[in-house]
Amino acid sequence: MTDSRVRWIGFGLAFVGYTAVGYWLQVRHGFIIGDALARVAAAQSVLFSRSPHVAAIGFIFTPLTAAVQIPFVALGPLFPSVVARAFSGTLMSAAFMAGAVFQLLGIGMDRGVPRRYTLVLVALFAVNPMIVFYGSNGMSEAPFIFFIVWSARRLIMWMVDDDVHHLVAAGAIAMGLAYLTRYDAAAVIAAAGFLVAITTFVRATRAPRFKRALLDMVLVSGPGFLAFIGWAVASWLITGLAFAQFSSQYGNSAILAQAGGAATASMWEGVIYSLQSFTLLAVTLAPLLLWAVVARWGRTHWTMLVAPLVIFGAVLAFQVYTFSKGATFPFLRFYIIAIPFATAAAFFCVPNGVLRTPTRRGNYAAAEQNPPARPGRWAYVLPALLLAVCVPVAGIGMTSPRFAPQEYGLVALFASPDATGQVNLDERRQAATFSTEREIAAYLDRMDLPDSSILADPVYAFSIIVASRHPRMFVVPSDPDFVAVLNDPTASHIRYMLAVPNKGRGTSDALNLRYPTLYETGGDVATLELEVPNDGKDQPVWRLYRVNDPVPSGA
Amino acid sequence: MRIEYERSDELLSVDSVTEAEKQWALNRAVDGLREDDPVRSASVAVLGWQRAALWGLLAVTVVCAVLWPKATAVTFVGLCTLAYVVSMVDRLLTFRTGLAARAIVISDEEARAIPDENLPQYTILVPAYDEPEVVANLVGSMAALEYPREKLQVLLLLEADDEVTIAAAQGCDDIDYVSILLVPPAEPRTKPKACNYGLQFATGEIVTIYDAEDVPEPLQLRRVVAAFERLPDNTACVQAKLAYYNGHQNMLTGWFTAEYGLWFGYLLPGLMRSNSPIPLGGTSNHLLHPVLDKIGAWDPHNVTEDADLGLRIAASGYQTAIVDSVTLEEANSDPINWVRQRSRWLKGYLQTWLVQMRRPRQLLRTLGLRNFIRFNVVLFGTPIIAVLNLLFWFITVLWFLGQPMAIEAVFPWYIYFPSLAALSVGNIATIYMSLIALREDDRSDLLIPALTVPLFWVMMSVAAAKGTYQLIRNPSYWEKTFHGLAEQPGPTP
Repeated sequence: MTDSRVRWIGFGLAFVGYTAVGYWLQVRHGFIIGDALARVAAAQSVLFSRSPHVAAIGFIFTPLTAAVQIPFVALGPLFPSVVARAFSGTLMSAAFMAGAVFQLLGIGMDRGVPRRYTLVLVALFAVNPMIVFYGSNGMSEAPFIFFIVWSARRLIMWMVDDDVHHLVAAGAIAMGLAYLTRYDAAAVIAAAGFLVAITTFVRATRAPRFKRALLDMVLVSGPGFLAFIGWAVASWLITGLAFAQFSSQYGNSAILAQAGGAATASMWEGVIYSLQSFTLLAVTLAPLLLWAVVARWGRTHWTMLVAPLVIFGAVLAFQVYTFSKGATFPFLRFYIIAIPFATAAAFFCVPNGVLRTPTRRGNYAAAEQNPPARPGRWAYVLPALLLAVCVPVAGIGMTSPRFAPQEYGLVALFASPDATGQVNLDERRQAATFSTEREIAAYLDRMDLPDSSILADPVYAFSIIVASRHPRMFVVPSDPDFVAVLNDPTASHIRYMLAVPNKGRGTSDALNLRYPTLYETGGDVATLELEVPNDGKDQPVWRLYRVNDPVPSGA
Repeated sequence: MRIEYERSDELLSVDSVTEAEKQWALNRAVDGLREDDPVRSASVAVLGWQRAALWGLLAVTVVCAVLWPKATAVTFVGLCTLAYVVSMVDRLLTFRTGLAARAIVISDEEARAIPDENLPQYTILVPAYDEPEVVANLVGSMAALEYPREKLQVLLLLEADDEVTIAAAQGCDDIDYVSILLVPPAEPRTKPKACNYGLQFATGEIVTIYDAEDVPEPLQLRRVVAAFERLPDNTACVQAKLAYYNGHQNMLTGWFTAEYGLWFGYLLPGLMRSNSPIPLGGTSNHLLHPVLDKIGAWDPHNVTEDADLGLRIAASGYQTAIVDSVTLEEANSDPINWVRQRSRWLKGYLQTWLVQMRRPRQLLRTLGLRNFIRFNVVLFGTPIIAVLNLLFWFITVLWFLGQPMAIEAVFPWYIYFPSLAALSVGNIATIYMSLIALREDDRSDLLIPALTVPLFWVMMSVAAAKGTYQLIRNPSYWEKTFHGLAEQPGPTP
């Protein structure tokens, strides 16, 4: 069976597997992560909100995860769970994580290691609980892993065959799109640029040496850099803020400030926390890396190892650095790149076989060398065993509330129905997140309200809007007339306002900004109709306020 | 494989030609194509049904613009956007093919391995007009060619009343394989007319054109012979790559050199691999004499006779190949001179397009659908899109300055997003392709010109506007390019 066919079969199996897991998690059990649901809500608002327009995708967070889901969300009216249960997210992340499986198989096959070894290593990657979860839950980790692994695969081969096609695929496509998936890709774009420039500078000694290195750097990092500029310009043109993630009231910096920050006392504590996090995910990452470096030092085509070290290392280093500065959250998923990193490292613990023939060998390709002799069986079994240890340890890590605040609720899905205790209660609360919002949406739908009758801010209300069958009921800040309507709800024929407490993240809610006493007393424009205690974790107690009727003029 | 040339007894002799024979040859040179196959001649720019069609289209557009102005504007913008997107996609596909494959590569050993007896007769036509300063270089370039002298014929084609050049060229006549052929003065004073005249004296089985200041790579002729051996029998032409030796003279030559590098190194080989019609370069196109006689040689009324011949080759069912051998030329370093030259090229593309489109159904049958689309994209699209660029850049600037409602009305979302993609992704992709071409040719010294190329596009658009205007007013006017503005290099090492 050809290499290509094996890769596609791997893709197909992974896609089906992750989709099935996602269906079970999200549609059957309703376990949905907030950010995933928010992406679906963004895609939905592009198509089905009161004023559908592409810019409704939002500029706080990068657009790719939501934009790719637009075709699936378009089927929402036919299949409500696609939107309400974020199943479109499942389809998106399953496709990308299966793509990551495809590319990892490619790394092994390009390198020419025995096929069985490749299959075992990639299978260990694919069944890692963290990978399974993030391949099925609609978060941006899956596309990000796919693009980074793709870039690494291409640059690994570029280090020996200097084929410009690798620079184009890695730089123009993978890294450019990676930036539009997560801002962290900026670190990879910069690191890859320097890797390529330095490598070309070292191996091409004829003049003009510097310009040649610079040209290669432009080819690899240019498109990613342009994605950075383009996204900032688009954001500035439409919202007035170039870097909304930092300066907007809804952005990361604001959320951190409102939620009390990353809660570490000192920079060193932050570094230690980060190291512990990614050790939980890929416990044998350090031993595998050490083995790979020692085994390949000075041997045939050893430079290939530098590429994954730089690419994956840049992502991890960036995460550790930003967390230690208090600029991001203590989430386990930010270190997920450690798992493909460990898998790639395992490929380098063994010598290469016959390398894949390049499409167009470059001018400064390394001299072709015969593949070294194949070592004995244990040279393959031991690294595979090391990698296999990561799988259960990652699973255990995901049950820790301290390190995995977004994942530990999964345990409740596997616990018996009679389980008790505070831990179990916390897990069940986490698993029940957004169930109350779905019920509120159903309640509002049953009222059969006309369009444009409910004021709400998607900061928290996105989970209600996405579960509603009539999203046009809601007037949201991305509508052009939102400010006018908010100023005078009575005259604009608004019936209800959805209010959240005016503290923490709720301070950025537009309704609270305009009417700071809305939640407590109705702000003189509305009266309390309904209060809904929330079953979910970290979700607000909702209050539905009915807007006052107009006072008859003339007395 | 010997390329047999059957009509050698009809050829005229340079030394013993009579006045009557000269006049006859001149008539054939000027009117031959027009008389034999008037549909394929650009002597009349717009012929028959085309004239009616163009006037009709203009009338319909004016009526629609008056009755439904907004819908007409949207349709116009929509069609332009479609043209941009199709052209961009086609260029990317061509480039990708050309990057993965290469031009025909003949190694030095293989080129030298052909024994002299097996080499065919070769004729090199060197047309020159009012160029006394470069004619002297001709001797050096020809002397460097590795080809048996008894099989080589170099015809220096000068107009009979061009006394300065004739005087400068006297030294050339002493070399036994170089002959000065004086073309009797007659309109049009164009290079193709001179080449047609010279063709009737050409004894070679393979014919090629060089400009007087060209520096071909010494093994080029042998490589071409080896290439013809390898290629299928319906190959009529082997085009060598053109490159500029004065890329560093100024920014304009830098842009021009980068453009040629991309065109000859990657786009033409891409066209070759998909059997698309290839517009020939101005020189170093090595043609089979029998085929030339059959399909009608050069059109003296077309200002880009090379592109026209390339299309006629394809329309007659033959193929052109690109060989990996370089002829060095001088790039135009003066902006005004450059604009005139480029306006002539773009006018010629439109002329060629009009000529070839006189029998569209037949052309479609011969080329096939994809190559027919590609022919339209390259010959019609290149000049017209360059002109449209001026309009759309203006609209974009206006939009950023004030966001006028009129522009918003003309770009509904299904046109807006494709045109935004064409503007951003399309332009970036073009620059990116050029960077890839520079990298693979190891010409990173042209990095700055490659990054500043949008200014070059502005110049190209100005030239396109000039050329299109000239097409309507004065189709066969030939804008002469002045050479000799740069230092000549020696023959390639």
